[in-house]
Amino acid sequence: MRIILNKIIAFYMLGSTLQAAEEVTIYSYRHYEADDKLYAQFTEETGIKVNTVKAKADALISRIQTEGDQSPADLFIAADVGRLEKAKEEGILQPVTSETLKKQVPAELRDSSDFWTGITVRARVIVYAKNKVKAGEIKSYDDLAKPEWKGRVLARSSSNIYNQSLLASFIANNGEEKATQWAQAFRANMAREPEGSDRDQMRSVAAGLADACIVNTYYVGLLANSTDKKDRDVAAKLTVCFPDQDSKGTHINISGAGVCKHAPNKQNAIKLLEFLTSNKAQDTFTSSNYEYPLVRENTSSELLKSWGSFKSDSIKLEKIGKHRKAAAKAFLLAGWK
Amino acid sequence: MPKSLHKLRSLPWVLSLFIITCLAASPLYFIIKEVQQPPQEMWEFLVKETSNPYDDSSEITPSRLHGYIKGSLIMLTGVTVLTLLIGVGCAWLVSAFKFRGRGLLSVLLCLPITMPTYVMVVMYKELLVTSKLSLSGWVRESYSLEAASDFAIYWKYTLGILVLSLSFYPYVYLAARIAFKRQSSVYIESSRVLGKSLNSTFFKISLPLARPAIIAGLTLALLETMNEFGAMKILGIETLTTGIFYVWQSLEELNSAVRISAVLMFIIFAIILIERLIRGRKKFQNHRSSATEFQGFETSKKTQLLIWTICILVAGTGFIIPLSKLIQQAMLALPERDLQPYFDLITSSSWLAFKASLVIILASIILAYTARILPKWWVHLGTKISLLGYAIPGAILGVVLLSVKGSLHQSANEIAQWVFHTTLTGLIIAYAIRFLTIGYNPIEAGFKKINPHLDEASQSLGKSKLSTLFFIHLPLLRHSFIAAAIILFVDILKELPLTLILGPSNNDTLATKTYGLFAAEERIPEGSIPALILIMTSLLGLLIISTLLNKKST
Repeated sequence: MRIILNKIIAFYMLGSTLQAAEEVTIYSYRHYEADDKLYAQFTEETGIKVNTVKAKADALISRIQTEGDQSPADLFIAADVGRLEKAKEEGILQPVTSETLKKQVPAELRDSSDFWTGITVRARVIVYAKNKVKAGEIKSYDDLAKPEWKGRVLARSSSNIYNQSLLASFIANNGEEKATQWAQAFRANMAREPEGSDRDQMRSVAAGLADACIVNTYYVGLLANSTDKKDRDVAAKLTVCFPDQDSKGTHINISGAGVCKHAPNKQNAIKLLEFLTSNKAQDTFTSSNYEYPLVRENTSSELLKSWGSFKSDSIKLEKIGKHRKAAAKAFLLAGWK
Repeated sequence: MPKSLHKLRSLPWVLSLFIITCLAASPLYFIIKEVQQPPQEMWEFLVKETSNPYDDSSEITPSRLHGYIKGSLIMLTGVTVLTLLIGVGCAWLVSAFKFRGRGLLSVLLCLPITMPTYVMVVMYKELLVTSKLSLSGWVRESYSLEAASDFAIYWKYTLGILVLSLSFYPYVYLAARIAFKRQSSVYIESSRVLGKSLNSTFFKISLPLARPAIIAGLTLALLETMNEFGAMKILGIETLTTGIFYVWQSLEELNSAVRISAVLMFIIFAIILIERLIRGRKKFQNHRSSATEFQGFETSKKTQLLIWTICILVAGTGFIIPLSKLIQQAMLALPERDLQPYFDLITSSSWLAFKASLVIILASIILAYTARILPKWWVHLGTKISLLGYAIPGAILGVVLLSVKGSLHQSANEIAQWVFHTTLTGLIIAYAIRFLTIGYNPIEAGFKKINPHLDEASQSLGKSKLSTLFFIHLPLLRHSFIAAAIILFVDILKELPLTLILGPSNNDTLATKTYGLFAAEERIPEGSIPALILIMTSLLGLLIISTLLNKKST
């Protein structure tokens, strides 16, 4: 009975796959609308239909795992390096060789064994209130952990992946002990328990509840270009500071993607990756999401240019990805909710 | 009729019950199995107290798990008090008095149910952000830094309890409203004639009579509170449900996450148990033959004004104010948006919600009818187990079903492909497990009201069980279907975690679209458009269903 049923369904499936011979299926954590526009553009140029499944990165990883060699997923897209590294460790990705990708993506933003590659870049920076903090007063992330900053700093919850990758980068650079101490000291300096989004931290700083906070660059961009005037007023009161310019450089993270191990349309997935990392697509990410392009010199956004160029932490991103669990543990020990 | 034939006839019913029970019990089995495994690495730190050497007070912070339980209990307590106060209070006002616009008010009071809780939270956050920031600045200036930090905590809990209560009081309100309406006017008028005041009539007669219905409504509200993720996350309140996500995703420990969900389910079972105990063995049977439903008393103009003020205040804070903010936000983004994709979403989302509601109602009929024709203890047990899906957190249910899907891929791949990839079958099954209780309760209550003599009469006329169901029961049950369909449709339209985890490709719904724009992109004005369309679709659904209800009852 089951065999017959399977046959019938298989026949039915055959019909549906024949209709769309050229396609690529993406499992993506990125919910951005700009992405959908780019996919449509890709279909227009290549005739390859793009199917998307959007969910939290961890749900997608479990899903690809349980689907095993029958998974329809061709490309896994995540919004931080930790999830990409996790996907690689869980064995759901495969390495790809593409000269175009090597040319378009700087080496430090790619996995050394080619399991994943960056698509866009964001920096986790310090934003401070213009009227409270003098330019040059903050030089590094460590400054905010000093006792004179007690009651003056804010950051969102430690369950946020960007905070985890930030702390993971400290672990990768200086070891677990130092990183835990930083988390404890910063936690003790917070003006209140962590709550809300990056945008909320900036709103609170603009309202004078604290003097500085840690946020991702593109949130500043979204705020400054919001359709809501209140948001734009908030952005006007704040200054972006790139920490650690005299030492290791500002922590950066990527949105990135990897071709799935059992991808039915591997070549199409590679084509899409090459498209997303091409100059034209990179421009769209910058202009609509205020993310940095892979090659930061190519930034076309006036806002991003106005913050000036900066030195980024040159540590290999995969090292940061590897320490993600240790970072979560350090936050747990620091009582950083 | 020979006994064996009789048994054979109920076989299809028993078989269906068995299948439904197995489907619903599979997540439960998984959780129990998982908890028996040795704990993972992080579990130790989750249950351990911490202290921060950089903190001057150097107080010991209670363990993370302690915090989750505390957060959940605070929310439960607050929501219990407020939903009872608002829900029962409004239902009594609308039921006990005759006044102009009573119909309108009683509908207005149901509307908050159409607004997803996380949407309401975002709107209130937007509305209050300026006052919150200046208030907390003032506390900091006039008192101390610690006071300002405490203020932030009080604020988020207050807002959280308020928003959740405004979202969930309709469950209590609807249950109480129907209970009050059905109360025979004989009791209430006798009480009045015997010189009891209106107040003591309420507390001594109406409230006790309506108690089982109210408690059932409250239980639904509390289960929703326990499972709330979005609103809690946005406000920064840590509960067991946010803890499950944190442990599963940030600490990457599924086993520890399942342990936390076991704690959560323990509390939920306690709630259900308490409900049973309160209800006790007492039967609150109404005088069934009484044809006169209680219509309410005449009131003075002054009382009418007071009732209006109270009800408008509730409906205003629960629906009108957040909706206005939503509209205002949506208008900001409207000029530069192409609306076509959203309209496509309306059809696909409603169609999905409709199909899933239909499946759930069908399963509910099978369960309730099997219990009716075969009143055996094991049928009863099977039914009870099938209804437990509501107690399992959506995210955990999603993860469990993913592993079911995994094993299906290994054994019968084509079927798995069909169930989970080409069609929405898998997602609908997941909804069914999660929302079966919501469909089952009104339908079971409906069955209970049908006199068993009808079944016997039908049987003695030689009708089969199936035709008895079709020609006798189903027509009598139509009100129960409508009641079930209303809540199911609206709840499924709003559903997030299961849709995100299990949906096939290209399956955007209004809820996931809103969520994406609100949570991931933090673009409130843009996200307000799908949110608004979602609410309008729910409203339209409500309207169609309640028109059907009114048409058929007249």
